[in-house]
Amino acid sequence: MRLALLLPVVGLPVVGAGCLGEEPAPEAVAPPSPAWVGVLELRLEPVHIAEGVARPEETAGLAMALLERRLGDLEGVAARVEGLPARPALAWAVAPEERWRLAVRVEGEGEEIRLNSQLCDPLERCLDNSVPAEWGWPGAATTATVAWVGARLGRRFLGSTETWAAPESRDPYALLILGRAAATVYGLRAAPDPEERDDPRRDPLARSVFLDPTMATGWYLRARSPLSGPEGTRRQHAERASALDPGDPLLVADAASLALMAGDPALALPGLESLQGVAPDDLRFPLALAEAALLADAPETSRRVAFRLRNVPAADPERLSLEVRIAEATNSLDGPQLDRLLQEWAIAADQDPEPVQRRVDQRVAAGDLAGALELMPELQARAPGEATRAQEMALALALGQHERAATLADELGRVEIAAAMRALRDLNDPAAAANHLAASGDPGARLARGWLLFRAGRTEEAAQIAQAELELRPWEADALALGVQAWRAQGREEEALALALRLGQVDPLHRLALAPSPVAE
Amino acid sequence: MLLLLLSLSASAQDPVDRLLAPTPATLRTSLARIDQLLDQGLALGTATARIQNAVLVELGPRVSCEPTRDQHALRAELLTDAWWARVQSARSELGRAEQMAASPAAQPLLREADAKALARAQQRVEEQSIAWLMAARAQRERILPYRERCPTTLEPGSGLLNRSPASAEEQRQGVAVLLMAGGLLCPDPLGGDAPVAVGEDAAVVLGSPAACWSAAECDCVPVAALPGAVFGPPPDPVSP
Repeated sequence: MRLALLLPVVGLPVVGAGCLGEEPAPEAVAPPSPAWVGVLELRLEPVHIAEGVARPEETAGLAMALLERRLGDLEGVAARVEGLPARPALAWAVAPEERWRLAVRVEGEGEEIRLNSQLCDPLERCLDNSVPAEWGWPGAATTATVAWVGARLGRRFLGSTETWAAPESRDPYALLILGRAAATVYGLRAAPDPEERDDPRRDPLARSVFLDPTMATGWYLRARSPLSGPEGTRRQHAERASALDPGDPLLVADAASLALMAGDPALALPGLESLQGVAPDDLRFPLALAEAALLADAPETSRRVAFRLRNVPAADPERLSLEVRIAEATNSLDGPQLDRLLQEWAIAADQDPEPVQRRVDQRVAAGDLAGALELMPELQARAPGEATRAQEMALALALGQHERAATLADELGRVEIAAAMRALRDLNDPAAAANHLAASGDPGARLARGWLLFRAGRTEEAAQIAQAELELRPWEADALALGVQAWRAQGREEEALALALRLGQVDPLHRLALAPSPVAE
Repeated sequence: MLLLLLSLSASAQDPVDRLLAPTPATLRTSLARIDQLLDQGLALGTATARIQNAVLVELGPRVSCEPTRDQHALRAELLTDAWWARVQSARSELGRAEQMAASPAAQPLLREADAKALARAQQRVEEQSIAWLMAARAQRERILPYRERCPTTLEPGSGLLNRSPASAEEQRQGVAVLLMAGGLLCPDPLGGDAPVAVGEDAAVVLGSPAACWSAAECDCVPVAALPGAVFGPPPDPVSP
């Protein structure tokens, strides 16, 4: 455990073996003592630029971009910028165990500036730091700041820091536009209009790498920004960034995550596996690896990763969701085990209807309809609405609870379904059951009424219903069968025979049908 | 001509339950029936194709009547009819299944597997409908004129062996044969213990690899059944 920290000692709660059932192959056995490095979320506030600093937007943007990139290289640190989605590399990070905050101010006059930082723990106990910065390329200052943060958090650098201080371009104008592009990405400056995007004359994101395509941060910003296009395109940007700065493992993670988001898990796998060599205990990446392996038809790899993940704090909805899907893909849990895992997920994600819906589905699949019905109040609380009510109605019906189903149908405003439920409730009295359906306009209900009247001995009415239905739908097998029965019951064999022959054309193997030869006739 | 068929009765589900409140279980029963019908249809299609081919390879505009060919032409007609009955009943059942799947009583409880099973049934029905239409066209346009010139009545005879090795699917499917009325099919063609009385000429798909026809008791020796065979009373002994 490498969480020797600033103020309170941050520990990793260790949970016992989950409910994954039998252990996988010996090589996949979880290590006896957990070695995971938990995720610390570091909320990066927008860099504040004091009055008097030249080019404030560009300076702030560049500082933000460099800080975000380099903070990502601290093991287990999930740097998130307020108001923005996380960078792609962090999309599958497990839930953080602590949330910290970093505020940075750029102060000074003209090009004589300093980076003043404040790092605050979850209890808002803060430490300050100040380093001189070079205007135009604050690489050395951001590196020093990140090193200070890393020391405070007790997190090591994953990549090489050798190249961090040197400017990414010899062209000061390209660096200026890079800062402008960053300001656009971080919301410090208005984004270009949609028709201007990707136009190197108007879009700073496109312009920065147009001016100097060797700037890794320029490609990183393009990979990070959803405005740069679909995930597949952004993945290519991340790959370019990674090729320009091979010492930065987070760029590899960005590219892999974008491949995964683009639905190309096979492309994501090599990068994610390589990260296991660099940061085997970093909890920002194993979920992505497990997900990619699962989707790339390597569920056993996925399961091995998930098995090791059992040592991480339990209450991580993403992990539990993944574990469920892995269990389903590998068929590794029996019904009760899967139900327990789903329950654990439902507790961890206490607003999310999905785990409860899955429990319902699982019980329905196992034929435990009563058990599924028991979960309806919980599902209703998480997903109130018509779909849940309709599900409850169907369950009640399948369990023969016709009145409950009818009441739910009434609540849903489905009058004809309610009438059908009440007809089913009164099946022992076919005439009474038929009465419930008298006003129904549903073709199935009309025919069912005909069958009920037939059972009640009112064969003439049944025959009339069959005839009326056949005028609308001449080849309706159920109407033909009802007609055959009803006419026959009245001794009208000729009419019955005509319908039986017609039924034979529609459904030759129907027990009431007479089947002609389609070839010989 | 009317052809009554053994072995499959129409959906036994209560029409009231099915029409008013189908459940996933009702839908699955319906889909299972479609599968059963189409599995039999597959076997009948194989037998139809073999017997039709045996006729068609020899058929020309002036070909004269010949007893074996006459028999094959008749068998082809009976098998094509029996195949149609399966396919058409499967289409009819598919209509019911589609209604059930769309019903608000069943729809909320259906799983992805149900939707897939329904889609598979739709595809299978369409494929077999097209295959049957092609066989029916050959029967109507080429074999039926010959049949009308060379009428005959059904007689027992062996089926046709395919010279090419059977595919795995062909090995799994049953064997479609014709039965002559007035006896027992032994053993039970559906795999049960009891023999089945054959009331009228019929086409069946055998559940066991060997069978025989007996007039009163199952005292016959089952033989391997080939597609398109006719099981019936042995010919009268030839008078010296």
